[in-house]
Amino acid sequence: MDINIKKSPTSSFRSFYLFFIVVTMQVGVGIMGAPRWIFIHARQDSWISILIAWLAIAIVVAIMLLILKQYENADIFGIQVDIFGKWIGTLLGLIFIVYFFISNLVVLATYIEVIHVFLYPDLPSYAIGGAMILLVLYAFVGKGGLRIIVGISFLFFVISQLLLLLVYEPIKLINWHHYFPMFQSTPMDILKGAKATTFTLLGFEILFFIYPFIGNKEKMKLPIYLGISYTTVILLLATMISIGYYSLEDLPHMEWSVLSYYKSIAYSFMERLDYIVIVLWLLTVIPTSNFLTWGMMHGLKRLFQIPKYISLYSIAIITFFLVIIIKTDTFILTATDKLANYAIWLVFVYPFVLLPCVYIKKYFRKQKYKKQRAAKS
Amino acid sequence: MKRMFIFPLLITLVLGGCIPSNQLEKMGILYAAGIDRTHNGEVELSAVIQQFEAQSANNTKMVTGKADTLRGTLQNANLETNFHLGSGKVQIVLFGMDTAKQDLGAYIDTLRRDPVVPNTLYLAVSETTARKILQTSYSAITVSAGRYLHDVIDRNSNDDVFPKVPLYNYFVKLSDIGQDPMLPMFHLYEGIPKMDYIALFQKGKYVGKLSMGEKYLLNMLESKVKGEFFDVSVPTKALKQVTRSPLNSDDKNKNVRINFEIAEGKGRIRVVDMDKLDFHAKIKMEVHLIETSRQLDFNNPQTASLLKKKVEKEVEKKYDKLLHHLQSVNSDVIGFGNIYRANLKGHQLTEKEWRDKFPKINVKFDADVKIVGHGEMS
Repeated sequence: MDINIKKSPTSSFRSFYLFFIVVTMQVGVGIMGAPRWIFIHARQDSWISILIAWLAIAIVVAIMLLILKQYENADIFGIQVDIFGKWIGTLLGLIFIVYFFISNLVVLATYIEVIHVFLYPDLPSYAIGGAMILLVLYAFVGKGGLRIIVGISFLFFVISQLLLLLVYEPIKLINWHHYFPMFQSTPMDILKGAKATTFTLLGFEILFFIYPFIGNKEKMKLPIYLGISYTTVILLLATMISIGYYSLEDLPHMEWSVLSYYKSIAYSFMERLDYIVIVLWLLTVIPTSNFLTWGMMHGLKRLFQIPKYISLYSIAIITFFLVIIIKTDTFILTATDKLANYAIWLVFVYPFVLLPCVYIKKYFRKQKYKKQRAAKS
Repeated sequence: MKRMFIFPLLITLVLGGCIPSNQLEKMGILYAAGIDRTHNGEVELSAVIQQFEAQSANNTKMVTGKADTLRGTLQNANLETNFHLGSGKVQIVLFGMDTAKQDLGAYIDTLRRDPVVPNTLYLAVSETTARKILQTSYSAITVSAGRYLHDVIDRNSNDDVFPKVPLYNYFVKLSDIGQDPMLPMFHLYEGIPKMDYIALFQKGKYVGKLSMGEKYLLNMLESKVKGEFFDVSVPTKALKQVTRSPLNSDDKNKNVRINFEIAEGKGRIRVVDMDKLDFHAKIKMEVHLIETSRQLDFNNPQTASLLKKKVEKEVEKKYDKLLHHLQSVNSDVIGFGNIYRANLKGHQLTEKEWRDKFPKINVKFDADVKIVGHGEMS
C-alpha cells in the first residue's frame, strides 16, 4: 500500500468547502436531543460545558493537522501502516471503518425513529431506510465520488439553514429566570457536560480521511476552525433555547427537545410546521451518511484493495438489513451511548498517542537518511 | 452503472406508497375535546368533530367516548362515528370541574407525549362539566363549539398572554418549581358559555378562582401588556378639588369610577431579602383615560398628578388583595417561586419547600402610573 496518495486535480476540492464538510459531519441527528444530555450534568452552566468542548475539539483538530502535515499527502490509513507496520496498521484502520459503519447505522436508525415517533408510526422501517440508503447510493453513481458529496453537503447546508430562521418563535417564549442561578454546578459536572457535548460534536475526524483530497492545503485552517465554531454556536443556541423554553424539571426527560420546540410554531397558512422541520432534517442526515459511506469505501479500498462498487453495495445491503432489525428506541440509545464512549477514545485520545509516534518515526527516518548519505559520501 | 441505477431509483417512488394515507372525506377532524370524569372513575371524552361529507348540511358533530385512558376514550368515541377521528388539529381542550379538582397532570402528560397533538392548542376549564359547555354551545351558537370557545379566548387576549394558555405554556408551568399554572374558566351564562373567571391551580389541581377582570394584574407581571382595560374606583372626596361641578352632599360617600386603557404596562419583581422572603414588585403603566363617572377638569394641572397618586394607590391595593387571595389558596401563578429559585444559591428549591414558603412571602407592590392621554376631551 502506498502511504501517500497521488494528487489528482480531478478528485480534489478547494479547502473552502471544508467548512461545510465539518459542519455537515458534526450537525447530524445528535443535535436533536443533545441539549438534554448536556443539561442533565451541567444544568444552568451548560454553556460553559459547550465552550470547554469547543476548546477541546480545537486542540484535537490542531493535533490532527499536525500529524497530517508530517506527511506529504497521506491519510490515516497510510499513516498507521507507516508507523505500526502492515498488520497493526491495517487493524487500526479497520477500527476506523467499523466506527464509521456503526455511526452510519446510528444516524439512520435515529432518523427512522424520529419519523416513526413524529410522522408515521406505522410506516415500516424498510421503506424509510430503503429510501434513504438509495439516496445515499445515488450520490456515488457516476465518477464524481468525493467531489459530488462535497457539493451535496454545500447545497444541503445552505438549504437547511432555513431552520434557524424559525427559532425566533421559541425564543419569544423563553422564561429568562430559567438561566439562573448560574455557576452552581461543580467543575466535575461541567466536565461531564463537556463530555456529553463532545459526543454530539463528533464528526470532524473525517479530516483524517479527506486530507489528501484537499486542493490548497495552505488555506485549510480557517474553514476548519470556522466550521467547528459554527457548529458550537448552533449547539449553544439549541441548548440555551431548550433551557429557557422547557421547564427545568422536564428538560432531562425530553427526548428530542430541539424538534419539540418547533411544535409551538403555527402560522395561519401552515398549522404544523414541525412536520416540515422533521422532513427538512433529512438534509443533514443524507450528507452525513454520504461522508461516512465514502469513508468506509475509501478505507476498504486503501486497506484491502476492494473495488469501490463492491464495498459500496455490500455496505448498503448490510446497513439496510441492520436498520430493519433495529426496532426499539432503547437499543438505539444504548448503541449510541456505547459508540460515543468508544469514539471519545478513538477521536480525542488516540491523536495524542499518534503524534509522538509520528515524530519518533520521522526522527529515525532522518537519522537513517543521514547515515545513508554519510555512507555514500 | 448510471443506467442500472434507474431501477433502484424507481423503487424509491414505489416506497412512497408505503405511507398510510388519510383521505379527508373519511376523516373526522377533532376540533374541541372536553374531558370529564364519570362517577365510577372513568374518563369521558366529548369531542366536537368536523367532517367533510358532501351530502350533509351540518358538518360538525359531537361524539362521546368512555374508557380508562384518554386514548381509550378516543377509540371508544370512534365506535360512534363512521369517520376516522384524527387529533392533529385539536384547537381547545376543556376540562370539567371534577377533573380539574383532582389532577390535570396525567392528561397534560398524555397530550404532550403524543406528537400528533399540536402544541398550540388552548386549555380551559369548565365551571360545570366540559360536556355541558360543549353541548350547549353546540346548539345555541352558529359556529361550531370548538371554534367558538377557541375564538373567545383568542379575541380576548392581545399578544401571547393570558387567557391564551397553549399546551406548552401550561406544561412548563406545571413542572417548573415555584410556579403554578392558571387557565381561563367558562361558565354558562343564560345558556351561552362565557369566560368569566380565572381558574387557579396548585400544580395540576384546581384550588380557586379569580374574576377575569383581574387578568391585567397578572399579565403585567408576566410580560408586557398592551391594550387591556381596567377599572378603578376613587372616592369622590379625594378628587373634590378637580371635579368640574361642585360636590353635592350625597356625593361624599360615592366613588368616581374610572376606566383606563393600558398603553403599555410592565412589571418587574425582585427579591429584596432571601431569608425574610421579601419581594419588591415595580409596576410601570402608561394609561389612557377612557371613561369617568364624573367629569374631571384636566385643564387644571393638579388633576393629573392627583389622579395619578390615587390610581397608583388603588392599583397597589388591588395587587395586595390579589396576592392575599393567591396565598390563601397557595397558588403561585405569578411565579414568585421561580424568581426565588433563580436567586437561590447552594441548593435546589423543592416543590414542598416553596409550598410552605409561598404563604409567608411579603411583597411590596410599587405602582408607577403615567396618564398619557384622556381621549378627545380635556
